[in-house]
Amino acid sequence: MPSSRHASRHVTSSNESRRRRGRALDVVPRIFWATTAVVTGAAIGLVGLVAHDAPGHAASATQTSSSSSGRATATTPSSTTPSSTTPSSTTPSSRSKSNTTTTTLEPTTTTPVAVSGGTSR
Amino acid sequence: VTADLLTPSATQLGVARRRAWGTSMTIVVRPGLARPGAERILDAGLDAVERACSRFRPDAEIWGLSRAGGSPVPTSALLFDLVTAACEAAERTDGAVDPTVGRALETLGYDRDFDNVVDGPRWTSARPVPAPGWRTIALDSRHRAVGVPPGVVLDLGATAKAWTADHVARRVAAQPGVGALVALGGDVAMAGPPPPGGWPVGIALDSATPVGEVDTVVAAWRGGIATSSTTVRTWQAGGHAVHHIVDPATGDCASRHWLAASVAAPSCVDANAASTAAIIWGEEAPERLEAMRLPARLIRHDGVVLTLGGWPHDGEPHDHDDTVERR
Repeated sequence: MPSSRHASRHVTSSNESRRRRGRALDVVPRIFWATTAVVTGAAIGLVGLVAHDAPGHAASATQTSSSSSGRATATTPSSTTPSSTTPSSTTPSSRSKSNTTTTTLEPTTTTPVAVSGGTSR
Repeated sequence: VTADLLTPSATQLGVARRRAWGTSMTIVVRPGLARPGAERILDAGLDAVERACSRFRPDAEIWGLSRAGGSPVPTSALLFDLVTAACEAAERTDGAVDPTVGRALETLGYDRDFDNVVDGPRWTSARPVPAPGWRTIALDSRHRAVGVPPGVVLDLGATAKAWTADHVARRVAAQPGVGALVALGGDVAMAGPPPPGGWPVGIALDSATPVGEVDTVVAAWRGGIATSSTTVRTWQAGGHAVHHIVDPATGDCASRHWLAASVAAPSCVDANAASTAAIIWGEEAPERLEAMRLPARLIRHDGVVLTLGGWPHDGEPHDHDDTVERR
């Protein structure tokens, strides 16, 4: 019956796959595990970096939202990293649409360490 | 170190003050031991930027652009970055913040360090000079050259101050474990690890307001907060009071629809561009700022305070955006 043949082919295919996988594991076990280790390490590093960079160490690198808790999160194209020694190499339009970062504000009653106001004397 | 600025939860902060560019400047670092190095970075940054782009120094590199008769001029990396940042701000604000307003400012009498403008106001009857527009500036990144049409005077004041705040804060914070807040004439940049609870930043019409007399306080962790105001840095010209925020389209002072606009953004340059543009946009400012998804606090000419984009309600946590209150 077609269904049996199909199942048989499927099983066959599965068996062949297992054999191929077994041969592959026999041939390149070290490459496989080395690649897995590198990928896992990179993922852990990336998660750690994002968590460290987020305001208050919250894992929110690029999300745009305005929550009901009084916290404001904004996402806009960031300006380029200032450098007095590295020549600029891109046009303004391409640079202005490059990276994204976040800014978070919360109300506080702490005595300010600086004042943002109109530029005066 | 100014002891009265230190809060119980931030006793490890180091604070230093400067006076430059006709205004006051503050740098705050944690831990406090990083303060001497931070001061050196601040002083070097202020000096370098002034030598690159001050309109009030005849030997500033930027004047070479105006003297070139429109030909592209190879520049230092610093000046190229400053001009580029100004053009980017112009692009993001649809030209509301435009570096080609130098001639317009001169016509209004702002042709010298602001301390001297106030001390000796220039009276003029000249008509306002619309800005030729930032798109007339030719940027050649490959050769790091800038071309400015004959007669055009660049004024990078709006963005250069914020750029310097960003630059200094990031340089200081490049040291492992060091966090920095740099406030240059009301433009605030933050980088590196902040104090517990964030950097408390006071908001006021005037950046010279004592920290105990600010309108409201917000905590920020990184990026920038900038405030533009039509009530400070004013002088007399042509028989009437003017201020330093020029509408590029007219060459005259922007309307006083808003007394002040404060904006938070991922960088101080972005915050400064948006807050300056908000003044120039007038009634359209709330809609445009919301489109930019930036937290903002606007004070209208009648004293009404408008917060949007999630900017915290003055004095206490809030549950709504686009809140309005009266001062």
